[in-house]
Amino acid sequence: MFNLPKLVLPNTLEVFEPEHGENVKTILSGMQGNIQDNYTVVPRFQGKYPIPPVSFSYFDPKKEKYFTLRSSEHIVDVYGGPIANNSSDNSSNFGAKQVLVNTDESFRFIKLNPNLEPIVKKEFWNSKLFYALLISPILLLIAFVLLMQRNQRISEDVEGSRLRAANRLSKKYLGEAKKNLKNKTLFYGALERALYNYLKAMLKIKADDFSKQKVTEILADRKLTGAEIQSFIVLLENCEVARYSPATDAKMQQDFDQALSVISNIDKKL
Amino acid sequence: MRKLLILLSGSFLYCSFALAQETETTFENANSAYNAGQFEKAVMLYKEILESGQQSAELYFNLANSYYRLNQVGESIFYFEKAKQLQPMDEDININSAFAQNMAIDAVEVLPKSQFTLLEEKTIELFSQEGWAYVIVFMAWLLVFFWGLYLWNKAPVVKRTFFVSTLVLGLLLIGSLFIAVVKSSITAETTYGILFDEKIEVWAEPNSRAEVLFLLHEGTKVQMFDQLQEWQKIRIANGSEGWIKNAKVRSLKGFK
Repeated sequence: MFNLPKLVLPNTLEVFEPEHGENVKTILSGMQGNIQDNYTVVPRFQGKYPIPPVSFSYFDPKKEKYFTLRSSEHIVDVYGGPIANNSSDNSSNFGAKQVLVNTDESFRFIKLNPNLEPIVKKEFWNSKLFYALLISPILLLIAFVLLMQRNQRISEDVEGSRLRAANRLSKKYLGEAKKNLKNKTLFYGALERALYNYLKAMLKIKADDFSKQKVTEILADRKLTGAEIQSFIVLLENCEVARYSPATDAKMQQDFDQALSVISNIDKKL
Repeated sequence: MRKLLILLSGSFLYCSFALAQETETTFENANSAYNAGQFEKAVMLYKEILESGQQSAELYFNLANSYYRLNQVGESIFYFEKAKQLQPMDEDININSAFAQNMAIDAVEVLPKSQFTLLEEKTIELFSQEGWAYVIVFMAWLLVFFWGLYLWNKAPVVKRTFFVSTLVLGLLLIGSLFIAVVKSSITAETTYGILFDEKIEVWAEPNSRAEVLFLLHEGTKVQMFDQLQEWQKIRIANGSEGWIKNAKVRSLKGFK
């Protein structure tokens, strides 16, 4: 005749095939009676189950109109029993005399601590700071490697280091002379002192037994060539002479440069 | 001028403090409304906090519970999912979420995952996106530090130790960088949504000439794909795919 509308139920409910009942009489004026579907539904878990509305449309020939009947929505609230996704040990409950609802499996109460935070948060991932922090250690490593290479080069470069040492020495001893390049007397005094001081420092000779003869001997002991010793002695003599004789600025500069080269020369040998 | 500045900053601080205070009061009011059984009022108050631009797993959880009490399946599931996004391991959230899932008409069987996929997921979920970012930066610094020590040291045993640890750290760094990039692209590409239609047909193709594959109901979680006019391609947890028309699907990337 016609089909009854089907009931749509949550899938977690166990729904048996509906029991169909018909009580329809066919009489002269037509058919009369009722049809019913009897559903047996077994909930397996606790919780709330909505039963959606069912609608049925028919045509009323007297009023010549279609009508739709609608049932209201029902909620079945099932207490007790296991909760879903946790059904592994539910069988053990049946044998017990009194079914205790495990508190772990009931609907939980709301949380009381808000712990709120802004929805739009600044993200660290993909931010400029992230990339900066990622790149900077690599740059640091490169800087470190370069620094190490420079140190290596410096320690290997003997010639260069000698030169630097000589420059340092000249700065130390000849600094005063350089300051007095304009004043002849002061300049030669300072230059002479510088040469002696240098020798004293390098050769560890005492100041009182200091003579050109002695210097020559000692320098010869240190395996310096005659020319080198000679240039040093000449320079010393120059200082003594020049103090009491006219000398030009150019001569002073020349003597200063010579002192520099002599000192660095000797320094290399010692 | 300086006094004014102090006054201004002071008042600003006070303002933000007062704002935080205000939302907390709202939260407490909502909680008492929930406890008194006034679930509609609770929902309204919780939403007020959301509107003010603040969130937390707790807020979403409470909102979802209120909706569950009001028998609104879709909304309830939606906010439980939001809460799970922020705190995936929380027991309360997972238990109550199961209650809400029970209420939905559709029970979608989740596709079993292979051992490899599970391992992959676990690795990716080891840290959050931010967590991975911090791990990467930390590893980069440690790597450079070890590398420096390797270059610095002269003794062969020490040198070898630092060389090996540098190598291992380098591989770990590359690995975690890769994972972080994959994770961020996955989050960018995959969008989940909750269905809000009471009942909707899923079609094989985005046109009415195609056949209807299956029916879905309110509260089902779907993965959202391409869109073609009013059609939206979806996939559900059991792996079935299809197109739905004019669907009310709310993306879980949004917050309302």
